[in-house]
Amino acid sequence: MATVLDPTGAPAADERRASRRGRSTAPGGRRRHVPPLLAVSPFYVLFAVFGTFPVLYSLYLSFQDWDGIGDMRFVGLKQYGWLLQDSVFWHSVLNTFQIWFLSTVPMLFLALVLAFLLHSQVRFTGAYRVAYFIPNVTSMVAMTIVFGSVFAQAGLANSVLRAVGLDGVGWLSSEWGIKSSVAIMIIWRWVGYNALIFLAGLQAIPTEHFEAARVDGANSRQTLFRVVAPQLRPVILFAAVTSTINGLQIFTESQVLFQSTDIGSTGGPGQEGMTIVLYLWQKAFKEHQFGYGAAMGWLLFAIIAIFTIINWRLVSGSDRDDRRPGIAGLLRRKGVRDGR
Amino acid sequence: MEHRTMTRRRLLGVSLGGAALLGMSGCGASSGSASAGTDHLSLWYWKGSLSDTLLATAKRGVPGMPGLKVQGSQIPDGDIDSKVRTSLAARAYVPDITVANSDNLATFFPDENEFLDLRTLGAEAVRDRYLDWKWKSCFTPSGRMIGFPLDAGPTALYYRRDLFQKAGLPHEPQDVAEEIPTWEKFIAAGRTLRAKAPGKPYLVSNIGNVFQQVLLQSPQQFVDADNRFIGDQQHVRRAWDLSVELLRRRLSAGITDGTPDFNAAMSGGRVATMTTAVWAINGLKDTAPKTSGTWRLTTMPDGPANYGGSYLTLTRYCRDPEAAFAFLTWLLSPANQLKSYQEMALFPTTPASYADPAMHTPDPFFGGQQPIDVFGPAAQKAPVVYFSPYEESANTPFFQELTNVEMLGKNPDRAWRDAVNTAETTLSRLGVS
Amino acid sequence: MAADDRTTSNAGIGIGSGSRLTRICVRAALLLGVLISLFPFYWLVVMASGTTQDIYRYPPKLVPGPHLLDNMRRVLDTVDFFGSLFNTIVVAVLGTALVLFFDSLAAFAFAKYEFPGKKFLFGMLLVTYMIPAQLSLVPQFVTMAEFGWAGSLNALIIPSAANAFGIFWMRQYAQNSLPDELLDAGRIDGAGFFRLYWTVALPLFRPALAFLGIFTFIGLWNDYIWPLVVMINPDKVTLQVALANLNVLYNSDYSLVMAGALMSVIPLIVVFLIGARHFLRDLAAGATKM
Repeated sequence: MATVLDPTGAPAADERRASRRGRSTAPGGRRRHVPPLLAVSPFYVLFAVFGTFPVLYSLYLSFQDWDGIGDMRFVGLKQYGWLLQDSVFWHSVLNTFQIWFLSTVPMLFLALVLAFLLHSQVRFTGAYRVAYFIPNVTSMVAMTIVFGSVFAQAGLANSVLRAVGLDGVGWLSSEWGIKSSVAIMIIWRWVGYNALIFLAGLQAIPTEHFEAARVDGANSRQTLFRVVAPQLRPVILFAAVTSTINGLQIFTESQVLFQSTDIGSTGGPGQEGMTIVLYLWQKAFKEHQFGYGAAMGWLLFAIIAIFTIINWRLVSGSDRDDRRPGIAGLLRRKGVRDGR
Repeated sequence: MEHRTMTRRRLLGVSLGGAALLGMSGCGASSGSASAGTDHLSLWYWKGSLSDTLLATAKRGVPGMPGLKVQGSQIPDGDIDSKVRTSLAARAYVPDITVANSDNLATFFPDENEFLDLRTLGAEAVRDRYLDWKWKSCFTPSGRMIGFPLDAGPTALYYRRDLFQKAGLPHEPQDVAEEIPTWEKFIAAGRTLRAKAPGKPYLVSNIGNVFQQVLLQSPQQFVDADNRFIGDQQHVRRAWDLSVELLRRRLSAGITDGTPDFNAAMSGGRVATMTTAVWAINGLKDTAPKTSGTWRLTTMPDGPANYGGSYLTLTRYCRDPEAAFAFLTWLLSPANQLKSYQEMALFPTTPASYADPAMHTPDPFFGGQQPIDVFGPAAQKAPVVYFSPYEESANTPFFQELTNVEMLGKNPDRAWRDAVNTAETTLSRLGVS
Repeated sequence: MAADDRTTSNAGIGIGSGSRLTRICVRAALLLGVLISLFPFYWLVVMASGTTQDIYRYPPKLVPGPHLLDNMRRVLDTVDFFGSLFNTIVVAVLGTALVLFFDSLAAFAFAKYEFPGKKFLFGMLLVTYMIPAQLSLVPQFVTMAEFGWAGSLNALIIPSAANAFGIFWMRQYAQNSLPDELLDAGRIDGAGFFRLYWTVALPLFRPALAFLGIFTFIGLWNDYIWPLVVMINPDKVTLQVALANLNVLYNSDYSLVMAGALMSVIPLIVVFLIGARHFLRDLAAGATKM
């Protein structure tokens, strides 16, 4: 199994061998290509029908005014114009980033600490892993309902504060209370998951590196920064990119937390819990402004693309070796170069 | 090895099963009605909008109509309008029959052809059974009758007699109505209550409810019949200012209705009044069963209004319009409206029911008071209100900004300007000036 | 695998190799973390077994009450729990089976065969991985409506029946764990592509399939926004949507809602605990590969 953990080497050699043989020994002309093409086709067919087509169609829809029932009305770029002037939309963008920042930074930090703690443990590691991973397995809807009751004015969180002599906090009725509540749910859900990924990264560091550092007289801290940090960088990059993509699509927590019979309550008081995807859903499927929803989807995509690229640059930018930042760098690390 | 083969065989079996399922269910949705392929008609409603007993009867078979069964599906009431629209957009799983709220019916006017014109099914024949204003409100501007009168929503002031008494305020319904006839007096009473009643109860749960009631006392709302935005005018401003005044005097608990905190506050006696309609009775009984006997009903300050009250509609996907219409006339007959009132506090839209002794039973939750004594006159005095299809788009920003003022301490004047701006922007996008 | 690495490498880092006191602190911190991780579940059980009044009592009641079965029975009376559970199981099981089948088949081809356009197709795979699903929430719904799939479980199963992540990850696994010699031996016996896939590759993929399977299963089980949008038939929804509806409809009856939440959480936790060993081991491997 060690080969699975080994990030370089073997696959490329494997691949070359496979291709040489493929060319020399496979029988008869082009027909030999049919089975593998057939084998990879389901994904591309599905993607064409349920991925590409809707994406192109959403571009078309974003130029229309349509409630889904009557006739479409062509409005050109007006939906985008309205969107850029829509203060609720920009509020939801701001909220999303605030919640993302409030959750991702502590979450990655705690996950890193937890990974180190777990790494130093010999006993009960299996049980720890299960316990830390379980939050990620359970349904967000159910747990949001639980957290919703904990953060209610008369809920457990305020009872605890009261018991230690502090004033209650308006968890679900103040700007930062709302954002913190959502962020806490995200942190609770993802710390264990990321800790296990970091732990795997830690375990993949060959023992010799530590020994070499010790021979050089490095202390724990130097070891951490000179040996551990560079080795963990790809894993941290993975976690950061994933958290960004997930974080910018927060929906369930905000939706379920402020679910109510009253349409104006979406996103909570002051719409401080309104996220981009929640607003998209509200406009498209509560108010049936399909064109507006489609346009918002495109802006969301643009925002995610920009931030994913920034993320890559930040995390991989300081690297001096051949790992260049950006898409090329990530694809290479993902093994695309080995593709032939 | 044997085990592995089993696993793979199972995998293949399940995959093929999936493909089979695909083929099977692909053709089921073609007719568009949610009840396609069943022996019943489908009905969407929200909890509390129809009598559970009558629905249970209809599920077994509508009396007098052999072979007709109607099965209800419960939808959260904030969702039903958008769910119906979504199914209309998908042209699949559209209910045969659906309940629409009073202000939501108008939002369907632009899509009136998605609903059946009930006059073509003989609605005129039963017209004289129903309240005239309610009947008239079933029509779209082009004269299509897309709604059928379900219930009315006369309003009243619900108040805690015990708390009023302990604060030294008038506490019998008649006295409260006489001594608290206006919103200004209501606010003054709230200050006394807060100062003198045990536990310093709040007057209202949130200011949005009062805003809503003051608005409904005006015949004009946010958009007039000529599709002009009138939400920045005096009738809305007055409602706004009164609400803000309540907040300034610290008379509002700042709790969103329907949240766990609201439930805790109502059962804990932290809120002394509710300004709402008759249909809220059952919700209050569910929320705060322990407060039974302490509540009373009286006339709303500045007079009654109609808040909510619903309609039934038939969609154009209805599998059997005649049978569905027969079901409506059965369900909403005077006799059954009476039953619905007794069971669900759904106020009849059939005046013939009002005189029936069964309407005049004392309710122990209200200390033996007869709710009809308050709601009956209210139903007759309520002003007739015009709702535009764009009402919800126009008023949502105002409710949201009021929440901002209440919960987040936003400056009321700034909130007002923001609400007007947001409403105008939203409406201009929808083609309302 | 992972477990063996740990014992050798942990000596390298300062933490844990320190004094007895340090070790106790580390263990205490880990246990505290476990408590925080698991507390919401415990609290869910407490709330689901109490009455609505108990939930907002001060001081709060911290131990389970006697009403669990009663509350659960009320859930069964109120909503079509087993119907929603059945729908969710159908989606999760069929969806997972299709993903495993299509992904492993494609991965086998990508890992061991040459064919025209391979490089391009593989590159595209990674690009599609980056496109957020929410971008096309509206047109996807309209597409489903055109197919007549809105409200049908197909809408939840088919579009995600093959995914880029799974293909990429399985391919990586296939390259490393599927020896060419085995395939060559099969070819000598006259086996074609699909036969080699079925008899040689698939059995060796089992650990990877276990990981991908649980990963997909959890994802399908917990999906919320897409079923919320596309399952337009209120009598046929998934567990998540049914639970969200219960939460709005019965907001004054909190013990009922909590019992529903608990019932929706249990099946998945059981599945996870059964597969946890495989899953967590392969999660680690998958992550370091990415």
